[in-house]
Amino acid sequence: MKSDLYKSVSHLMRRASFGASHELLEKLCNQSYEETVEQLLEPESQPDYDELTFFRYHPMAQTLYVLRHAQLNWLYRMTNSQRYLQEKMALFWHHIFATAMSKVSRDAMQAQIDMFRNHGMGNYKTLLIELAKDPAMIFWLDNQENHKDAPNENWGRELLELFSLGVGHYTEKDVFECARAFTGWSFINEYEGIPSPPVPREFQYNSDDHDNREKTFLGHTGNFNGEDIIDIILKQPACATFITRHLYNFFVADEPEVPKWPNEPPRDHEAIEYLSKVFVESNYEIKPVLRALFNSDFFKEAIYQKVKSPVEIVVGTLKLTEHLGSPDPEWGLIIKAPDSMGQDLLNPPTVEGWHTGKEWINSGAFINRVNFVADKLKNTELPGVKTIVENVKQNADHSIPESIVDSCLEELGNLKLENDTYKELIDDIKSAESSNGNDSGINHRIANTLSMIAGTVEYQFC
Amino acid sequence: MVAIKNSKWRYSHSIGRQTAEHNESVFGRTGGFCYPVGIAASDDGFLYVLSRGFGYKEDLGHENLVDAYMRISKVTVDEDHVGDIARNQFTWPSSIAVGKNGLLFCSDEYENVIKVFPNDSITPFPEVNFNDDHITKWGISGSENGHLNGPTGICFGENNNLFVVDSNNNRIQVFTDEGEFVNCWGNIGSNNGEFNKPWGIVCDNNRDVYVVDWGNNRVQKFSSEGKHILNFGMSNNYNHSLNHPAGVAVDSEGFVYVTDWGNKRVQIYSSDGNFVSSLGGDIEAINSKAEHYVWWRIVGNIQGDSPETRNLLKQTQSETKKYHCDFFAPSGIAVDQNDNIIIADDPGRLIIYKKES
Repeated sequence: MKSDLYKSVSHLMRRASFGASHELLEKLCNQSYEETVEQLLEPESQPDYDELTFFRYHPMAQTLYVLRHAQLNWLYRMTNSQRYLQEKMALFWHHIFATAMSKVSRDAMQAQIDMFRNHGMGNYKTLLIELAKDPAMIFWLDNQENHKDAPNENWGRELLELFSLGVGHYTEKDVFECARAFTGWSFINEYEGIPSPPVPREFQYNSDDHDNREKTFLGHTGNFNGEDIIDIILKQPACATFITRHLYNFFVADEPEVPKWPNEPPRDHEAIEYLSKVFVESNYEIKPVLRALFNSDFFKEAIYQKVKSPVEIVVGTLKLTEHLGSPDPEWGLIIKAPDSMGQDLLNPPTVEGWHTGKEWINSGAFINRVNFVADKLKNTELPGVKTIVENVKQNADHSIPESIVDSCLEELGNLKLENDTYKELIDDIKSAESSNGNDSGINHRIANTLSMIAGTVEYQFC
Repeated sequence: MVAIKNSKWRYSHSIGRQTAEHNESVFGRTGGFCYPVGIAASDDGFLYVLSRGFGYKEDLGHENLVDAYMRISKVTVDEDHVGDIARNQFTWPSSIAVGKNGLLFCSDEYENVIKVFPNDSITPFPEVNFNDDHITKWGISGSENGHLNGPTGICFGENNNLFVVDSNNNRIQVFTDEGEFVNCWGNIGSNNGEFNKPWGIVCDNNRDVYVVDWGNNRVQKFSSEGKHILNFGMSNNYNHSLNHPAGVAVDSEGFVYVTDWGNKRVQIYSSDGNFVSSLGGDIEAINSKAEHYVWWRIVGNIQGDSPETRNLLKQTQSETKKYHCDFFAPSGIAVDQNDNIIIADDPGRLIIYKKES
C-alpha cells in the first residue's frame, strides 16, 4: 500500500508538474509535503536540463525552423527539466496569454516562452508589463499598428478581457482609452526594409507615436502611459479574482469556459476569495498564491477533478513510463501527439487559447489519447512500466483478478473506477487467466490491464 | 613548424542557404542541405555532404515513415550539385569519409553501424529509395572491443584503417576498411587520453590523430597507436578557447581547424596546439544558385516578374548579408585538395574559406 504522503505528493506532482516517476515520488517522500511545495516554488535551486546535449543530437530544436521543432524544444524540456513548476507555469501563461506561431515568428515565440519562465512565478504586475513589451504579443495583437492618430484596440481589449479583468469589468470607452495609453509600444523588425511580414525582434517605444493627451480609464483621469494603465488594472478587485480563478482552473479543478465566467459563479467561491486575498496582500506576487493553493485542503481534496490537457497526457505518460529521458528519434513521433489530441502547442487556435476541461475529451481526439497512453503502458520494456509491473507482482495476489486491478489502479495514482468499468477489467483478466500462467504471461496480463485502464474515462482526469 | 604569421584566411562563398529546404527549382539544384553534419572531400574534386535531416521519420504519404531530408549530397566546391545519394538510408547519420575506390563510409550514431555506399548511386529528387543502397554495413551495439555505442566522427588513417569515435563508449576504435577490429583506446574522464562524448576526428599527414573531446572542451592529439601527445583549446582566454567543439580538419600545411560549435566560430591552431586565428562566418551574400532559387520562388509563387519582385530579390540578398552573416552552429568541417576550408553550418549551408599564404 502506498502511504498517504506518497498519494498526496503524487497528486501534487500531477498538477504542479506533469506527473513523476515512481523513483522520484519515493525520493520526495523523504521530506514533508510542505517541503516539496517549497522545493517546487524555487525552481532555480534545481539543475536545468542538459540543453547542449539535446541540441547536439536534435540540432533542429535549436534552429526552430518549423513549428514542430519548436514544439520538440518545449516538450523535451517539459519532460526532462527538473524545474518542474517553472515549466508548468510557462504552460499556464501560454494558455492565458495565448500567442500562436501561425502568425508570430519562431524566435519571438521562443523569447515569449522564456519570458514566462523568467517572470511566470514572479510579480504579476512585472509580468503584465513584460507582456505588453513582448514583441510576439505586440505583433500577435497588432499593437505596432496602434498609433496616436489611429488607435488599434486589439491589445487594449484583450489586456482587459482575457489577460486581467474579464468581461463585465470595463466599458468600451475603457478599451479605447487603454489602447491610447499603449500607442507607441512597438518593436524593432528583425528584417528592416524587407517587404515581408515583420519579424519582431525587440521592444521599441516610439515616443513620437504615443498619445500624450489626457485619458480617463476605469474612473481615473490623467496623462496615462501603459504602465499607469496596468497599475489601475491591479487596483480592480476583479483582477485578482480573474487570475486566481484561472489558477484554480489550471491547478485545482475544471471551471466552465472563460466566456461563461460572467454568468456562472466559481465552482468554489471560498477558494477563489482566499486565493485572491493572498494575491492582493502579497502585492500580486505569484509564488505566495501558489504556496497557498498547493497547501490548501481544497487542492489536496481535488483528486481527479481535472481533465488532463493533451500536453499533460503526453508528457505525463513519458514521465510515468520513464521513456525518452534523453535524445531519441522517437521524439519525431511524440511531437505530433498533442496536436493529434487537439492541442497544437505554441499554436493555439485563437487569442482565447484552448477550451479546456471536458472539451478535451468530447472531441474525436479521445481515441488518440487512449491509443497513445495504452501503447506506452503495455510496453514492458520501458523502465517505468517495468517498475509498475514489478510492484504489482509484488503487492497483488496473482490468483485474484480484483487484487491485480486494485494494485494497477494504485500504481497509476490511486485511481477510482466506475463499477461497470472495474468489472470489465476483472472479466478481462478472468478470460485471459487460463491462457498463460508463467512469468511473461503475468507481465503481459498486468501490462494489458494497465493499457486498458488508460482507455477509461477516469484515467483522463488528474 | 608552419608559417603562421604569413597565413590569412578569407571568406570565399557559400553553398546552400540559411534554410533547411532542399532548394530544387526550375533553375536546377542549388545544393541545399538539411542540417549538414559531415563533409568529405574526394581526390577527384567532389564534396560529399552528409545531411542529418530532421532526425526523425514521418508520414509523407509513402508506405513507410521517411526522412526525405537525410542524404549524402554530391557537390563541387563551385556549387555544381551532381545529385543525392542514400536518401532516407540512416537514422542519425553523423560523419562521412571517402575510402579506397571512392567508396563512401558513413557512421550512424543511432544504429551503431558504419554503412558503405558507392559514390555514383544517385537517387533523383524527390524520390525516396526504401531499398538499402549500401554495399555493406558493419557494427554491433555494445561496449566490447569492436562494438559500437554512438559512433560519430570517422576518418581514414594509417594503413588505410578507419578511425572511429565511439562516442558513448568514450573511446577511439580502429578498424580495417572491412570492419575488422584493430585497436582502441580511451575511457570516460577528463585526464589525458580520456573523453567526454567525443565527436569529430581527423588524421594528419604525419599519421597523428586529432580527436574533438566535446564534453571536455578540448582537442586531444594522439599518435596513430593512441599515445597521447597534447591537448589544446582549454585556454582561459575566450578568444583562444573552445566551447563544446564538434569537428576537426587539417590542411596540407598542418593547420588544425576546429568547429567551435558552442561559440559559433571556427578556431585555427598550429599542429603543436598554439592558437592562430578565428573564423566568424563573414557571409557576404547568398550564392548565385540559391539566388536563382529565391528568384524562382518569388516570381513563380508570389508576385510574378515585375520591378517590385526584382527589388525583393535584391532585398533578400541584403537580408543574407546583414542578418545571416555569422555561423549559427558549425559542426562538420573538411579541407579539400586545394586547401579550401569547407564548414557545415545549420540549418542548410556550407561556408567556404580560402587560405592565403
